[in-house]
Amino acid sequence: MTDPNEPVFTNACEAMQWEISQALDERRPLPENASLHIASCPECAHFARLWRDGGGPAAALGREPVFDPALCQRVLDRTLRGGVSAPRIATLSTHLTRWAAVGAFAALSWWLLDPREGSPRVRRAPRPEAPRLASPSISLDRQLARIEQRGDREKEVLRNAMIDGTARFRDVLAWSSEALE
Amino acid sequence: MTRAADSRIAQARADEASEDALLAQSWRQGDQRAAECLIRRHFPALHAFIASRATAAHEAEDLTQEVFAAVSRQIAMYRPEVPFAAWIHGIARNKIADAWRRHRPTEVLEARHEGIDERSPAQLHEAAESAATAWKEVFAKLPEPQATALWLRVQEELPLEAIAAALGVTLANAKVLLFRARQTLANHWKSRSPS
Repeated sequence: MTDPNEPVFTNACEAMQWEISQALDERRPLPENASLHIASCPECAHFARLWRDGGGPAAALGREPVFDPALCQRVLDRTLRGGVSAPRIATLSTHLTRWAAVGAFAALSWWLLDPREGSPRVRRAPRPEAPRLASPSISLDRQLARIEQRGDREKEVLRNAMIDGTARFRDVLAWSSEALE
Repeated sequence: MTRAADSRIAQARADEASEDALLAQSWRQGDQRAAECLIRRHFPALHAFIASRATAAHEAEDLTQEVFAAVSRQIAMYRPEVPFAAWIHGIARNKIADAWRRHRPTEVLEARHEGIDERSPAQLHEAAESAATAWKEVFAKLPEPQATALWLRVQEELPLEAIAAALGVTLANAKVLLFRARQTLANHWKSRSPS
């Protein structure tokens, strides 16, 4: 049975190398067919030597990395003594600082724009009277009565267009009035 | 390597992982000694991982510092189901990606391990340097997820489940990433070696 997650292989060697790779990752011995294949295939033998036996250039990958104690100490000092070692308190203080800033801003805004009559610190500029748009006086009934006299098909199309257009026109007027106010 | 040795290594890794989880729990509760112990334990591998991808020693140091600072901030979010090593490598990957987005490094790696030479015995230093060079080549040659998967497998000896968790991929994808990494490197080294 084929695993749907298996990569697509272009040749038998790729399939064998996949077997070797899986065996390494799952810490299990090589399947017999892979062992037999390695014995007769130099390419797969090279692959197995590299990754199973840690030979050739792959050997360097497994060596211990450079470790500089002084550098580690510097990182430790900055991380633990830099005030980030107590995450809960740090998080709480960050939140408190944010809320304090928001509170101060709100209080300042209140003080500057005191809404009580006659006491604003910043005087609002007098606003010109906003022009009001008269509400549309469209006699829909009269227009519909005219349409009644035309042919059925034409009447239907015109009727729909009128209703739709009027509704849109009213929306635009209402929006404009609000915007001007 | 025999199967017995393999299982001993796996057992040792499992013990380390559970110790890490306990230390992380203490760190969460504000225990600085636990934090220090975890940082000391994971610093060498994490710094080497970052150094493999950084272009200069100071960049690797800054990034390592940033990663541990992020770990410190996010320690409350750590879940012991994932090995600590896998978790911090996940954070390191994000930090490295952020650094690359901020400024693509232009400096040539010349003195990546400056200041280290006098501290290590010559032989150890040579081996470590060859490891650093080899990993540098791996990260240059392979797509990042493949190289990181291989690092976590070879250097951290993490199980597949932890590698998948660190990379945010499925178990099957982690297997494929490792296979492709090994395959590409084997072909690369084969073509480079004199026949």
